[in-house]
Amino acid sequence: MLLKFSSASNLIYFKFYFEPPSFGWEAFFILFYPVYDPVYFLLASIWNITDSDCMFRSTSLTRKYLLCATAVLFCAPALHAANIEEMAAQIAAMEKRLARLESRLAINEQKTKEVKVQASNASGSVANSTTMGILSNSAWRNLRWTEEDQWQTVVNGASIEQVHEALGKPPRTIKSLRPQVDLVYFYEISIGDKHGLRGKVSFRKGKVIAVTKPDFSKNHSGR
Amino acid sequence: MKKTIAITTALAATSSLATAEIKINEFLSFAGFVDSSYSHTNIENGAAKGTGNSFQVDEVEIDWMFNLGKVTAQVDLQYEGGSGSGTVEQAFASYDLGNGLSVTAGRFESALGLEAKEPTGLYQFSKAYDVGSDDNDDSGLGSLNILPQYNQGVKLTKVSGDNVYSISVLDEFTGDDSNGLGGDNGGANSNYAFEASASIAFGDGMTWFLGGAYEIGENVNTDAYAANTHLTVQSDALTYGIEVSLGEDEGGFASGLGRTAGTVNEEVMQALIMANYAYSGSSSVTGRISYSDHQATVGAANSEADFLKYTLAHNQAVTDNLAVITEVSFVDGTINSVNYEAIVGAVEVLFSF
Repeated sequence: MLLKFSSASNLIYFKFYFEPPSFGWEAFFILFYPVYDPVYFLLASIWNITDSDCMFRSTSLTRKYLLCATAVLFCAPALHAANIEEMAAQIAAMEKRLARLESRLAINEQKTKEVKVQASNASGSVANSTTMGILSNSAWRNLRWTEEDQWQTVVNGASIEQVHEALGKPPRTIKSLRPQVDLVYFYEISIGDKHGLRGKVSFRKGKVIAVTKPDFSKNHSGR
Repeated sequence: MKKTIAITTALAATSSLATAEIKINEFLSFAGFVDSSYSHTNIENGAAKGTGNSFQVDEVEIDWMFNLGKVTAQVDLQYEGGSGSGTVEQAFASYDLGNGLSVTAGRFESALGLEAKEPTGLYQFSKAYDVGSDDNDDSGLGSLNILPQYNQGVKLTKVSGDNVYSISVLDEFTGDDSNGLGGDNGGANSNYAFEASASIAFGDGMTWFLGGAYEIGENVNTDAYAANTHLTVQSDALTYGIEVSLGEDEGGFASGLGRTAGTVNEEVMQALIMANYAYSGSSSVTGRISYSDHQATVGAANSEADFLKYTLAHNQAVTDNLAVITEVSFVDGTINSVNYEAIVGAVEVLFSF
């Protein structure tokens, strides 16, 4: 950004050679502009400044220092305002970052909760303990289907993508041998565990045609 | 036919859409089936008579699927009770190029043909152009299907919505090849082939398929082609299908009709029409009529054969992965004006996983 100054008519004005302006030096001069006239006339009345075409060319160092000090004094509130805007931007960025961290924390808490649900459902069996060990150590296996609320959107007519979104991809899938069913998703902890959570979603032509939700009402003391 | 081969094969290789699988971990899953049956066959081939009485595990297959992001791979291992041997049915790797494009290399299934190549995709026990086999394979002619099945090559597939297009370079499709890819190959018959197909979904359950394969024989006159088109319509309870295939093989197609490379020029026309009606959530009946016509030049003589096959099958799904299929079929044909008849009754138990 190039700035061009002139003191014509006792005013400092500047021209921006590039658009749009951004905050930085430009902001300083924008803020400085409205206070320049009162400052100049104040100093002129005190020290008899005559080089009104270019005040800064005064030969008196004292005048220059005083002039600058006065300018700084008048500009301080404007600079303060600029700092506030900068701080506001920083706070906004931090709030966004905090929101992201909170979101990640919520996801991790949900996963932990789901694993605990599985552990409570599968207690009492060595095989199940082994299964749960595998499950809890398998980050790839999405267990959000174990939450009852996740099944609310899985209704007849829903698409495969919607089921993936709600329940995650199933650990077991088969092409059904039934005549009017194309594909069946099995959501289950263990095929051999009859008491564990298990659900089933059947598809035809890419749409849900039947849903068997897990029985969330029994054997869930740990939830 | 529950899912046309062209679509399932292409999608399995190009997308993450769900197929049958049991996940072992994020990268590896498997699927498969066990197909066993009892069948009884009576065959009259002119004066020769034969019977088949089979009670066996027809096929066991385990498909291993690897998912490495843009690269997927599949290895299908099968055991066939008829031959008593295990083979690698498919082994291929695919690379997802994006925008529905993928390239596949290895041994893979042909897109041609209305009927599924595996029993899990069939409504019947037998296939349309299988005219029966006896215990000693001396009277029955077995399968007369002229379409490519599984071959080695490289395939480019484009999936656009429900439409699937593919083009491939193959080492062969007729069985004439000596495992080379063209060239002299030490004086042996070294063929190469091309296959192209398009499957177009018109909506409302209607799908049209058009495809063909052409094989070039380098050393011996074994050039061949096969063209195939079929139309399927699926409504809630009804499924209709119609198919027509044309083909010619200078060496004669591999079938029970026999072949002598260089001396046989065989032209074939095959067609089928079928309908399946699901009268409940677990039961369906299927009717099918299929026809196979063969005209061959053997030396200076002409040879003709034609077969008409009627099939009635009932499919009872016990669960989603266990079904019992019963079938009665009758084949009426002639081979050089000699009558050929076969009656087949079968009960098949199919378990998939």
